[in-house]
Order: sequence, then structure tokens, then C-alpha cells
Amino acid sequence: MSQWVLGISCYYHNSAAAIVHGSDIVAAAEEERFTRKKHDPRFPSYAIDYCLETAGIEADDLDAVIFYDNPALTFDRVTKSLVQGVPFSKSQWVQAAPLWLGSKLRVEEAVFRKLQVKVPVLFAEHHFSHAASAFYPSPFEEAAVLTMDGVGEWATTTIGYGNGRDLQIFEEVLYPHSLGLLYSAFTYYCGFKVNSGEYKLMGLAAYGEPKYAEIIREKLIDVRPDGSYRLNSEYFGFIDSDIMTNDRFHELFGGDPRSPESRITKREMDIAASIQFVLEEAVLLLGKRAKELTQSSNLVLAGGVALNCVANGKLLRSGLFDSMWVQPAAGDSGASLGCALLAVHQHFGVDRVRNAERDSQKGSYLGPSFTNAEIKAFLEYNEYPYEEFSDEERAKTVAEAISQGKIVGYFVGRMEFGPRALGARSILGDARGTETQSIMNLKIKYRESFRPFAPSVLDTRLSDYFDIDHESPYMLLVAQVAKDKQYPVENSMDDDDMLPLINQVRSEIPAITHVDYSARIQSVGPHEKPDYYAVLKEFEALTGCGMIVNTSFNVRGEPIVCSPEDAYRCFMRTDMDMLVLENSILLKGAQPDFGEAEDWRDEYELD
Amino acid sequence: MVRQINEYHPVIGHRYIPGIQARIPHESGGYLVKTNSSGFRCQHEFVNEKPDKTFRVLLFGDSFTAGDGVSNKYRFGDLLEQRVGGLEVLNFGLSGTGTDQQYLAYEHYGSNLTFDLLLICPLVQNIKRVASRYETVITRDNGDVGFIAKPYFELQDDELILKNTPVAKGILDRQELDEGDNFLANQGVVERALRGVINRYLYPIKNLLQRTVAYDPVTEYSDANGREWKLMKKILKDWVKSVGDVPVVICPIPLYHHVEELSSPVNYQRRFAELSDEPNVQVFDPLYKFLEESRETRRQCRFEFDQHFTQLGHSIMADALIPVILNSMKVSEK
Repeated sequence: MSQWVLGISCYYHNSAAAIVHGSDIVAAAEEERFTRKKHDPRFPSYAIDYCLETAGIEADDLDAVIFYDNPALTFDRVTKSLVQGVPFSKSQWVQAAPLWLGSKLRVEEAVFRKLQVKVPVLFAEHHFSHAASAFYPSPFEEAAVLTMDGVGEWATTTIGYGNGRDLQIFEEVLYPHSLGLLYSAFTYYCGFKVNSGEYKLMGLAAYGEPKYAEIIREKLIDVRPDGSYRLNSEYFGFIDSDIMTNDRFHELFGGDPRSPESRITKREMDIAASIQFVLEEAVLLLGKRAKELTQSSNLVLAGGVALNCVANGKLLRSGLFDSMWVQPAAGDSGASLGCALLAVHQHFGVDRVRNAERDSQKGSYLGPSFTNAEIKAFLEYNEYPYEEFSDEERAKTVAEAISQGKIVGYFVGRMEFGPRALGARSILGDARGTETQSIMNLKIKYRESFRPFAPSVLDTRLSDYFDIDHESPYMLLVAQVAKDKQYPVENSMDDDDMLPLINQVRSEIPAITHVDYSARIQSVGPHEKPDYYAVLKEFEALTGCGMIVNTSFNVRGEPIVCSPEDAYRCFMRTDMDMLVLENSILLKGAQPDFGEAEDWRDEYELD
Repeated sequence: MVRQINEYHPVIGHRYIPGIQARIPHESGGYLVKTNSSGFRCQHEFVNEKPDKTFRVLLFGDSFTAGDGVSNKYRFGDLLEQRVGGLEVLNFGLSGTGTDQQYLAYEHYGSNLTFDLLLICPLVQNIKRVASRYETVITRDNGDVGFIAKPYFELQDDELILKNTPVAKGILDRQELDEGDNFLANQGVVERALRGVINRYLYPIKNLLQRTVAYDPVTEYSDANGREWKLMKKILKDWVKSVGDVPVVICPIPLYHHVEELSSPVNYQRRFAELSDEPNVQVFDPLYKFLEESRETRRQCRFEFDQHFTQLGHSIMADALIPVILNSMKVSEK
């Protein structure tokens, strides 16, 4: 009989829960989706309810609950680091102590408070959880495992190997030396939010030149040929203060950090390009080291740094490995899934059942879904006008709307687990439209105009549009737009104004072509999400184009929508034209006035 | 986000959304609600023909029967099935309903089914809902208290006249209620507010207070000719008449005040006893079974804050009903 194991991750950022039944991943979701608080770090109470709901079991049916991290070891790291930083770390200690003594060391109590039944509580180690999240769901029987993030207990980077149900870690880099924290320091310095804005920094990097790479290598990080590295702690503030960088760091780059929301200048673009360049070098060396140690032709990745799809793309193209798989929820939320699988395979000794053709992640569609009956109940309850369509009619209607330049909120099937929207909670548009990017950024997402959008492309048409021969179902790989689709443009910037550069039409599919002709790709096949595939097929039939723009269904600072209520609210607050809620379609013009007493923009903290 | 589990129904007012599986956050740690395709928290589909050699019970009631606070399998209806062989219980329990709506649910969904016993389990407090034209709800978008219309009966010349069907849609605030009806709205808001104050500031002495002042949570039963009781009684009598010769058990579910001897059950017991003169009706009061337990055990029959039955409460309720069910099965065999 298979064991039911609930994995949880929380108390730092992006708390989540996942439930597995033997090797089978049954459900997983981030807490933020339910609480509507971005990166919610609190105990994942709603996510746990959701997991038990989907499993259809009671709490006392669980064989174990496993926490993704060893709080005692983490506490050890925190206290030792703070002691080292005395007297400068006093304020950090004052801030950290109540949290640690209040909840972080009392995971069993929190689990009992939530479930109200005694279930064995196990603890994993942070990077083992990441490693397990990367290896066990992957399609590989054996693989090299590389994890990279900010910090776990002590480890920040690990290299290991998975084979069958065995998983080992061979080498690790310890705190305070951390690629994740290094990248976050630059995220902060460039005026973005740590643990959230790293993605923006990656996007910004394409606009700049790596002018500062040498300074970074010389002063901040010493990357050795074997992939190990050391940070120069003299330049970082995170060890003994709340601030990621210090004055020495600022001097290296010519002044204070950019203020959030202020104008982005060429300096930030070049700094972003530089740290991205150095990160990619380090990741490649780590990949080489993983190859040396394991001799495997497969590589799996997890940890927040594995969300850097530009680095992932370069690692794949390096040819070090034949195949690569990245956990879609590569950050800490995915560790809830990893630790649950770790418990099943290592603690309970359950054999791994592998899906060799694809993987066991089920397209990462592991979150809640809503039946048509639930959707209708919601719409009727609120008296919102809608029309019902069959699956086929829906695909046609959506494709037609997109082809006419309409922006569609698409809410169908189980919500995605991980930060990327993959066609279940997505906003869709026409990749060919020259205005699509600016409309979606400024009128739909209310976010910075430089940020590129990603394409969903039919898997059969992938190489027509991109220089890639590897599927990318989770939008975790970046590739160049095919040469014959590119338009030559002048990429120079006369002053700090990015807009002329952003607004250049660079290809036949301008909405998804980044300034460096790259795109973050989601390849879509018929298997995991047939409804979404059908939309793309219909769009192709109508236009000849086998791709559309796919961005997450939310506005800036808001977690991706989870429920029909969330979707409707977001639809009404933005300039979307159409909302698809399962088989019901709503048109903006037909909806009643959605007057809100307060400005909803105050509801979400900018990320 | 908590999943929406109810939907509008033109006849009953509302029902559960058909075919859902939802875990509801609760002080119990959460509970699983599963509904069938007819929109009831029942493990079985409502098919006309009952399975061979099965004694089929149609069970009606409100949230105590539907099982607010516990998962489907821990409810007394399900426990009866687990503990009595050859029994099938079709659970029509519906949270937030009065006996009037339960009668309408029977007419709409149950009356065409083959069954051996009708088991009506009105929470004694349901008498208040029977006299109301609106039900209070907590709105999903902002947590405010609102009102939804419900179907209701009026008694005219000893006949029940059904009003407000199809039930009006939408959530109203108190100002929007029909003039003159405001007083008929279930006083849940005031009660809830008062309960909140007491639970917050006077909780340690709440029981003592109730006992001291001889608090009666359902004064509507004190008068045999009271408007509310006459209406409730007529609904139950008509319902009983509508099933012909099929045996009916009316099992008023006591409030915790009665279970924990904070209030006297005498008034409601007297009123319900008036119904036992019908030949096919047995009025069964499960209170005795609870009173066999220690005071401490009885307190554990409800949650700390939520007065619905805990698993233990459901278990005692099921045990109380087993002899009644077995007896009906015996009679049926003969």
C-alpha cells in the first residue's frame, strides 16, 4: 500500500504544501494563491486544506508530514552568523529571535494546531528537498543533480546524483557563499525587490553590456575552475544587517542603489548584464563539475537560481549534458514537493515509478480546478452575464478573439504549481501584434514596460520559430528567435531612455521577442493540457501562426489568480476583453459596473 | 480562498453545488464536503429504485444532519449505515435551512424515490427559520452579513400557502428587506453579535450565566398556539401525510443547551410529542442518550466555538438512533 505524505515549506518566503501518494504527485500549491498575499511565508494552512481536499483523505490518513528544512540547523546558522556580526547584527537578532522562538522551531506544534491529529512529523534538509524535487519527478532513471539558491540551513549550492530511488549529495558550497544571495544583492542594488525581482534583473540584463563583469569577478566572487566559489563578505550587508549590500559594494558601481520605481538607467542595465554574465559562467562551471563527478548524461536542476532560464538555456546549449530537466517550482515552494517525495522514497523505501516519456510532474498542473457547476454557481450567485461553450467552440472563440487583437483571460483546468503560468491561469494575446507588449504591460499587467512576454508555441512548430531542439514545457528555457524571423534593428541607446529600444519591432513575432532576440519558451503538446493545445491549433488554423503570448493571470504585485472570484476581479480591473472560466465566456462590455470603493492598486505591494 | 459550496436553487433557496469535493477550514482541523450530482452531501446518488435487500432511509435536516464541522463519513447518517447492516441512508441534510425548505427538498428530490423510512431530524432551533423569510449569510467577497431570500409558508385557513417561489436571487442588506419583513429575518445577526461578545469577554462564565438565568434558546415552543409552532407543526403534519403509510420518525435534535443541561428541554419535547398521534409517526428524542454521558463527555459533543456536533456528537446521535432504525427494519420485515 502506498503512503500518503504531506510536504510543507514555510516561514521564509513562498510557503507551500504538496501531497504525494507513493510516487504519484497528487497536488501541490503555494499558499499565496489562497491568501492573495504575494510570497506569503506563513504556515500553509489553505494549501494543506487544498492538498487534503484533492487527495480526498482525512488528516489521520496521512502517514507522515515532512518539513522541507531542518530548523535546528538553520537556527544554528542564523545564530552563528549573527554572533559573528556583533555588534552590527543586534537589530537583526532582535528581529529574528521572536520568529524563531515563536514558530520556526515549533513546526510539530504548528502541524498539530492545523490538523488537530497526531501525525509523525519528519524533517528534511533544505537542499535535499530541492534535489528531490528536481530528480524524482524528472523523466530520468539517473541524473546529476544541481541545486542553487540563496541559503538553506548552511548549504547554498549542492551537486549530487540520483539513481532510482537513491539520492546523494557529493559536494556543497556553504553560507555565506551563495550564488542566490549574490544575485539578490544585485537585484536589491538595481532597485528591485529581493526574492521577487530577480526575474526582472534577468530581463533587464538583455538591455545592457557586461561592463562590470571583471569588477564582480575581481572583488565580489572568486569562481574556481571546479565550480566552487567564495564571496568576498566585505562587500555584502546580508551577513550582519537587513540590507543586502554595503557602502563598499556601492562604491564599486558608482553610487547608491537605484530607488525602487525610479527611472532605470544604462548603469542598471549594464550591472544587470554583468551579474547575469558572471552567474552564467559560474553555473556552467558547476555543470562541468557535476558532469565530472557523476558522468551522467542527464542533469536536473532546482533552487531559486534554477529559475534563471537564460542561464539554463546556456547550460543546455553547452552540450555538457544530453538532457536537462528543471523543477518548474524551483524555488522554496517546490521544496514542499521534494521533501514529500524524499520521505516516500528514502524514509518509507517506496520504489520510484518513473514516467520516462515525459516526467511525473503532470505538466505542473497540480493546483485547484473548478468544475463547470462551480463556475456557474459563482456566476449565477453574482448575476454576471456569460455564455456557455463546448470545448471545441471555446477553443475556436478564444483563438478568434486573439487573432482580432483581443486580450483574453484564460482560466481552465488545474492551476499551475510554480511561478510560471502555463495556460491554466494565463492572459493570452497575439504574438504578432506590434502593440501587444505595451498594451499587456501597461494596461493589463501594470508593470514595467521593459519586461518581455513569453510565447506558448506548438511543439511541432518550435524549430520554425526558435533556435532550439529541446522541449520546454515549463517555460524554463530561453532560446533565440530563428534568424529568418528576425528583423535587423539598431540596438544602441543614446541616453537612458529605454523606450525607443523597447518599442522596436524586432521580428515577425514582436510581442515575445526580447531586445536580444531571445524568448522564454513554453512548448505545448497535446498531452498535459489538451484544451490549451486546442486553442493554439485553432489559432494556427486561423492565422498560420503556431504561437500566442502567454503571461500570468495577475497584475503586478498580485499572486496569480486561483479562484473564479480572483479571475473575475482581475478581469474587471484591467483592460482584458474576454474572460474564459472553464466553459463559460464573459465579455467585458456585457459586465455590470465593477465600482470599487478603494483604489485596488493599494491592495498589492509592488514587487 | 475557501471554495464556494452552495448555489442558488429556485425552489429550496439554495443547495450544495453538485459534484464537488471541498475541504472546509474549521477549528476541527478542516472537514471534507462531498456532494452528489443532485447537490446534497450524500455518498449515494438519488436513484429511484433502492438496492436489493436494502432498507432505505431518507434523512432530512439542517447543518447538524448535513454535518457542518465533520467529513461526510463521520456524520450520524453515515455512521448508521456503517453500524447497521443492510441500511442505506440518503442524506438530504442542507445547512442553513428550516423545516419548510427541507420539506420542499423532499418534494423536489425525494418524493419520487422508493424508501422504507422517512427520518426527519429538525434541529429544535429550525423553528426560527420556519418563521423567517430571509436567511442571513456571510458574503464571500467582503465577509459582510447579508440576507438571502428563502421560500416560506404561510398558514391560511389551516392550509399551507407557499410563498416566495421561485426564490428571489441576490444578496440584500438589511435596508433592502421588504418593509414589514425585517422583523421576520432570522435574528442570526444579533445572536451572532451577542454570542461574539459573550464568547470573547464572558466565555468562562457563559454556562453559569445561562443556567442562572434559565436561558431558553427557543422560546417559540413555549406556546402550543404560537404562530411559529403552528406553522412548524402543520409543515411536519403535511409532510407526514404526503408519504402515506411509510413510517416516519421525527427526531428533534437538541441544542447544546439541552445536552449540557443549561436549558430545559421540556417545552420542545411537549410540542413535538403533539405529533405522535399520527399512526405512522414515531417521535424520538435522542437527548436521553446524550444525558447518559458525563457532563465532560457531553461538552465534547460540540466544538469549542462551533456548536455543531463533533465526531463524538455524531457517534452518540447514531447510537441513539440505532434501536429506532432496527425496530423499523423489523417491522418492515414482518
